[in-house]
Amino acid sequence: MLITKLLLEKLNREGVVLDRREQLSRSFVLQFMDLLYSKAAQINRATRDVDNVLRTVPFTDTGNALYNLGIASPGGDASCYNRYDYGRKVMAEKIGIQVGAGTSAPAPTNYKLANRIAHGRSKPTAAPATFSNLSFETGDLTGWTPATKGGMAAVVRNDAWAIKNGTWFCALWTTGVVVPGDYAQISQDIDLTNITHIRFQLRGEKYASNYNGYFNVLISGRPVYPDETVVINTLALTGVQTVTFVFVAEAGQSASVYFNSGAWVDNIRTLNAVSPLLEYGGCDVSDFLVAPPNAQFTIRRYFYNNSSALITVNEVGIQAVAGAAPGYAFLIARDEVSPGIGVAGGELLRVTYVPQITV
Amino acid sequence: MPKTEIKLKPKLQVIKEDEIPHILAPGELGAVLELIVSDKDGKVTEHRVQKSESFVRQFLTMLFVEFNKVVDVSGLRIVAGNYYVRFVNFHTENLRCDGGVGVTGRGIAVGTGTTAPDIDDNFLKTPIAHGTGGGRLQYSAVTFGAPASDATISQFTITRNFANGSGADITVNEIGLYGGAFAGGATHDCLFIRDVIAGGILVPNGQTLTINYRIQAAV
Repeated sequence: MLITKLLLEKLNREGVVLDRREQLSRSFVLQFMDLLYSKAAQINRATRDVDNVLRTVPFTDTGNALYNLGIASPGGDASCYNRYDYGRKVMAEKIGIQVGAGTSAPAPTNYKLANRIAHGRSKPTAAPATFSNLSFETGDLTGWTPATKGGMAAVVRNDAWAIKNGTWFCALWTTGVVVPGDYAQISQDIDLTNITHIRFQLRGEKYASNYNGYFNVLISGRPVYPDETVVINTLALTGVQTVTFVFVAEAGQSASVYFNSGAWVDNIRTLNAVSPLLEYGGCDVSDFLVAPPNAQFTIRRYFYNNSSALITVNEVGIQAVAGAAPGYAFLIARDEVSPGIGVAGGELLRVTYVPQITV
Repeated sequence: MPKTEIKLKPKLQVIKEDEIPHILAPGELGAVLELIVSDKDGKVTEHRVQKSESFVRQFLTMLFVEFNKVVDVSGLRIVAGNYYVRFVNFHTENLRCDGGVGVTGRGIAVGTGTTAPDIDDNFLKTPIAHGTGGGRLQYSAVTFGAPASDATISQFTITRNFANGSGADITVNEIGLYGGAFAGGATHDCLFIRDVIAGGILVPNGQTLTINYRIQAAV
């Protein structure tokens, strides 16, 4: 019988173990059986890769099958299992021990981690700059630079039907006769360096007819727009930029009919929501030991958190290379880590699998 | 006594999900050993299912070689038969268990030895040879059942028939699984599993012993 111990150790940069977990791995999944079967029976076998594609894994033809079941790998985004004559080239981070944030229980049919944490360094996660007077709770446009044209106005109001956060909101709306191109806007300069998204709450009208309605999105009857989900992606932007919220009239309107038509904005937040990344070290397979009635070896990988964010690992697994050139990654083992283990910025996580047989 | 004609042949099939035996504890990777004795008409006269106890160190060694893709494990002992295999390296033929008809050194094999399994076992203690002579069993080709899974178990099956046409009853006490280890340009067969059957299993003359090793992982 073979069992596999799973050890998770969190360390600081000096190598001091800050947290240590040991559990029985529950672990090997169907793709491992597929790859073992292919070798035992000397037969091609179709099995599912981590991208949910069914791949035929050849058992012979040295160039294609020679590396089937390999899990040792260098670190990060290096390539591994290179064979220039067959074009095999697999990214090292995909092979060997993996970590993720998913929390579902393992099942034999798992073909990937539920929510794999990729290799890399997260964007610096210093606290994002925030908008001044982001919810207009001063009762005016302090911190904002308004600009209007024609019959449009930018005003802070406290009408209960339009408030999204706090007591006040900002209306960009008609206050008189408007012609196409009239507008109302508010602007503010902000440093986007550590900001990944801007999220705000919005209510807006169209003026196709004489009404006071608004657009919304419902999920199971619960309104989710505009109350929650207007998100602007700013991942690619850095430095001080001017952010403007503007409502522009597209047709002439008479004040008597369309008074107070426009948009309302509130609760303008900045986020730093970069997907957590950990730097993958090499995956080491070593330390074969025999001490009758036991024999064991060790599979180990280090994961480095070089961001300032806390990253919680809730699942670990092992991926093996297999398949025709260029080769693909197949999940062969998956384990849940409950409760998750939090790895703070500057800390390391050492994950060790120890397969062991006992006679 | 005339030699008995053996008709039973192994089948290659995918086991149905509701037929997967559940013996392993969560987290175990192992084998379920199924022993079936059938008469010449296919009627089952004995059927046992038990947990295989004994991967030996060479299985772990070969798993290590294939995981690590090393080219020389001369420091790790691999024994095929009674000689050392040096410079075992990763290869497509490692772990192959597809023994043909009459091939006793690859795939499932049987013997009469009763010594308890040891992690350093390299071969069956008293192997039963292939044939119809006294004390022999006829080894069929090894067949395989493709991998399948249910909610907690994934598995595949290795099967072999041993027909008794020897003219006398034979008791099988030990069962092994041999597989490939590639070195020096050739594939050598070494022992991966050895099980000793408490009390042995009787294979009457004219009957066939079918052995299924169901390699399983339980989550």
